[in-house]
Amino acid sequence: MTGNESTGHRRGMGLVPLFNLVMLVALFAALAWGYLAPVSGSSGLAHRVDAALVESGVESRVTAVLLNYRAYDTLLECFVLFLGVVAVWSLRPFRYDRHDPSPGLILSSLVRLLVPLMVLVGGYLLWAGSNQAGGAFQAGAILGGAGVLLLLTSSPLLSALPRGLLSCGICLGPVFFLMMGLAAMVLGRDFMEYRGEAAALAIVALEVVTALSIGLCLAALFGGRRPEAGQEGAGKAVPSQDGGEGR
Amino acid sequence: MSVPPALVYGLTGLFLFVAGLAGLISCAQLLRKILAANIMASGVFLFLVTIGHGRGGVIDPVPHAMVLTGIVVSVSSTAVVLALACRVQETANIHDLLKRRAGGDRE
Amino acid sequence: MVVSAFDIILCLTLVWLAWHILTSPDHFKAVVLFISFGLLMALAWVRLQAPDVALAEAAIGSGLTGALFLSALRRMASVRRGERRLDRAEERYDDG
Repeated sequence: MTGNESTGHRRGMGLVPLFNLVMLVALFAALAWGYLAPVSGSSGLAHRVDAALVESGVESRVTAVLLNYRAYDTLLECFVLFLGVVAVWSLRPFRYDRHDPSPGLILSSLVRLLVPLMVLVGGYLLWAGSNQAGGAFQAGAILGGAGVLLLLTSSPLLSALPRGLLSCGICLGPVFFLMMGLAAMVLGRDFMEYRGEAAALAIVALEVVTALSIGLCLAALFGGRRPEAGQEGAGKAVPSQDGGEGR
Repeated sequence: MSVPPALVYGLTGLFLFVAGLAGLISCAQLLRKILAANIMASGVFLFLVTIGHGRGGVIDPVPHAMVLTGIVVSVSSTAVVLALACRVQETANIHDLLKRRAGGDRE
Repeated sequence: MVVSAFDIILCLTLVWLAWHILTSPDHFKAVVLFISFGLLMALAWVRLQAPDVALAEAAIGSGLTGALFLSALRRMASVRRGERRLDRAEERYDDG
């Protein structure tokens, strides 16, 4: 059903495409009608966000929404990333030999220069996120990009990482989020309710951990398969690039 | 013209959603379907952000945060679906090969 | 704020790119067009005064998703290409 990819991508001639077209146009018209219809009595949530901003512990409104008011979203998003990595890891590909040309001198030295720079930019974005554009998601994306570069060039840096570290890092985001939420409960508030003085600290911690976890998960998603333990020895240095880029 | 830009982007988002849906239905290959689903997601994000615009000139940060979450979720689901698609492709190829071999032996 | 010609051109480009992503016969071309689609989306976020989303879209939506698609494309092609590799995969398939 999918094997024959070179044939045309449209199939079915005659009435069916016409019907599809009519239905799609009708759908677009209905959606546009709903979008353009005047809405009465909704002023959005901007005022409520602004009113509570003092208590949230950050100055940036988007960061406040992400990590304080709607922390559930971010918690569930961490879970989605975690489950995504687990799913990708469990879909182990058939092994086929790759004859990747080893990365040239220029590429590997470029990556060696770029990766620290990317880590720096990620840190800056994380720091900037408290009062302007930026934050955990963007920093995590930059860190993930750095990880992808390392994977693509089969950097020796990766083989120095112990294997357990990766698994722990994948779980880090959800676990830390739950722990912070429970800590708020221990301090007598609701689950994930951060307010006042403690909120600033909690959100900085959450932000750092979220960025690290997102970066690691994104790189692992790109990596595509769990790095294998080469030998049975526990804690043995594992070449994470073993499966390489095109897995 | 006193049309706010958000309106234009919102309609573009709707159009991208519908176009992505059309691609999802009518394209035969898995990779193209995944691309179409991503275009649909982009349309939804555009639409969602423009909803928070314009009413009273205040920009609503809640849709922005939701879209940020959505982008990360969509990349992780894309990764999973791509891994599945690769797996399907490999299995289909192997079946093709086996069938071809079996046919070749008989001749 | 009033709609400018830039907005209209950007929207039309987005629509044009989406159309070509869905209809171009070459997969590689479609993926490359998708990456540029993500970059233009980042531009649209800036126009919508959402710099946070623009940063995330440029890094994740275009960069990482593009890398994922390219690597999947390569994996699919490399499985399809060589009979020798298929033999090897076939043995593995027979084993388990």
